[in-house]
Amino acid sequence: MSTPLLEIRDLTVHFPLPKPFLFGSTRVLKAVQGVSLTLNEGECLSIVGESGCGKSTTALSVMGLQEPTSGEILFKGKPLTGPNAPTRKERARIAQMVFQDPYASLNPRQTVGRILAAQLALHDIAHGSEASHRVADMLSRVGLTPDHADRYPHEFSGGQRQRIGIARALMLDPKILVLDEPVSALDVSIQAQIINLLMDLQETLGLSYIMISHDLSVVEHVSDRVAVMYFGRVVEEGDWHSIFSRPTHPYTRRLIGSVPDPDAILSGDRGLPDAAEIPRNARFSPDVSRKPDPHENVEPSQLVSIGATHRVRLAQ
Amino acid sequence: MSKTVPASILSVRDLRIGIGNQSDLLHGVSFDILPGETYGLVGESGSGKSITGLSVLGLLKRPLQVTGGSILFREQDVLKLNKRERRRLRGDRMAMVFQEPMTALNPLATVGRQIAEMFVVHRGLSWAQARLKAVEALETVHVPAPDERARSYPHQLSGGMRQRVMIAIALACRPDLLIADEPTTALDVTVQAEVLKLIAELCQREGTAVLLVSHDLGVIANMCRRVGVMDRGRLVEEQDTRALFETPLHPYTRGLLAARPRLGSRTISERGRLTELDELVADTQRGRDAPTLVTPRGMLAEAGR
Repeated sequence: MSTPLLEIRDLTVHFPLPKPFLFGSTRVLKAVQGVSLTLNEGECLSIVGESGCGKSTTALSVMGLQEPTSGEILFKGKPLTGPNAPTRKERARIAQMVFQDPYASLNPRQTVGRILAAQLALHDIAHGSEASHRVADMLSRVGLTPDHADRYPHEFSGGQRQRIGIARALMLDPKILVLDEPVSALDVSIQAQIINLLMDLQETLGLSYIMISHDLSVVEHVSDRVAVMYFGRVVEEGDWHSIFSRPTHPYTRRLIGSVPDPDAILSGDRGLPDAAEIPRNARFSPDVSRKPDPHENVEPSQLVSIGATHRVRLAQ
Repeated sequence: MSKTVPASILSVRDLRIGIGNQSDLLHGVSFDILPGETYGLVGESGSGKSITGLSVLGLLKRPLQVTGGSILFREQDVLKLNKRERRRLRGDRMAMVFQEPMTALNPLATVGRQIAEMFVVHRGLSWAQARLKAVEALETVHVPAPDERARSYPHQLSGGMRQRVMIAIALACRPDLLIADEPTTALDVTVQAEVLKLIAELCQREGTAVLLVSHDLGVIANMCRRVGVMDRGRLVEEQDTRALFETPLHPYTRGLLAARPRLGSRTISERGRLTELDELVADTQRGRDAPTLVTPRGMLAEAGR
């Protein structure tokens, strides 16, 4: 088997919390607990889960913005963490991020052209007219026009701003884009345009995506593979079709069942597809009937294969 | 048709909102909400759905102002009331749940106090009595350990709990009309489902009419019997929810329904493009009223208007 483009191995991120008393013991918040994921070239991997489940922390670790407590992240077999980690400048050409809120993630005091060209200068790729040429090229690629480069972010609509955010992420020609809720701040009518743009770009530029989302209808539409996270762990993972046609972990089923889907509501058919079978005497982990405590150690469990590519977390 | 239809609790007629004397944001919107009914307003940002909700409560911020039309609440034109009378209605007979509970709640007061305030202001209870009522109100919105939670500050609660507190405040005085402006947009899907269920359950029990403003067609389908679709300051279509999804009449509605990614719509073989809204609706077709508005009073009443 060829090396995957990106491999996350047993990633763990703990955040120390302030001591409750002067002599109290230090508590840690276990945000991510032993997450292993792989991303193949040209693939879109979606990480879904509720807020606080560790999906954003995982993505920040991939970006190098969050130092993992333990575990490693490999890009084409080379570690992105630890002593031999690449510099931030090298990292910037591996993975870039598209943020959720296009209103908050663009500098309001810089023109779009300047926002986009800054990275080219910083990486000594292009200066002056060569840079503005590349900016114009990128703007038309994301569905804007070259003269938009002279405008400021506030002059654009939400959808256009998200296009600028995507252009900014693509300027250094990265291999991986981390999409953090790329359409959830946008209107329904604009979402389709941005989703189509992302899918077109993936095809023409051969990009690989890690998409963080809680909107399952978008996830179903865009992803190749889906990982469901719950309280810092991956509880179910598989190709998009297995996850949506055979949601098995109780949390995945709850998540899919909560999507307010107009067609299902109106037809009165709120039934979920059947779960895949799990071995007898096996128990899902964690128990979703009560909320796990993110400060505690989790019970021993493992991801067990229940299909060709489909794995679900069972208690050991 | 006419014999059993009750008088509407809220009747918005030709409402215009603008800056100064120009009506350039809302160009004449009319709709009715019957007692106990949940009416949905759906549209994209800038379509005017939120300012419609705010104008009913009299919460429009300057320079926005109502430039024409009427808002009849229990057959009384609230636009003709003075500030004091409107303030008495607000929070008592009509209440609002906002999108972002963190900014809508007072960070410096315990949630118990913020709920109790409603009883003190509108019911004339003492603070001590009101506090007991506040704990009760927290219990009705299914907040666990309400006694203890009443003493917490908003930042100590999760998003879902905060939104429950907002609902408790809004429903404290058992209003006739609840305006919910994107009540679950800031919440996780699983929490969203719980909060929507709560709103539906409480309003059904008390017979509260709800004006639900949302951009999420799923939320609207889940909650509403009738839906109005807004685009560019106009109500372009109004139908029973089921009919709207089955036979959308206005091209904009058709575009909106086609453009959303739908759960279960992807086939195994390919990852198709989504239909974009402007592929279906020409710009000239947007923001115009459909000739066929269907109201609960039936076509007859509509024809007589």
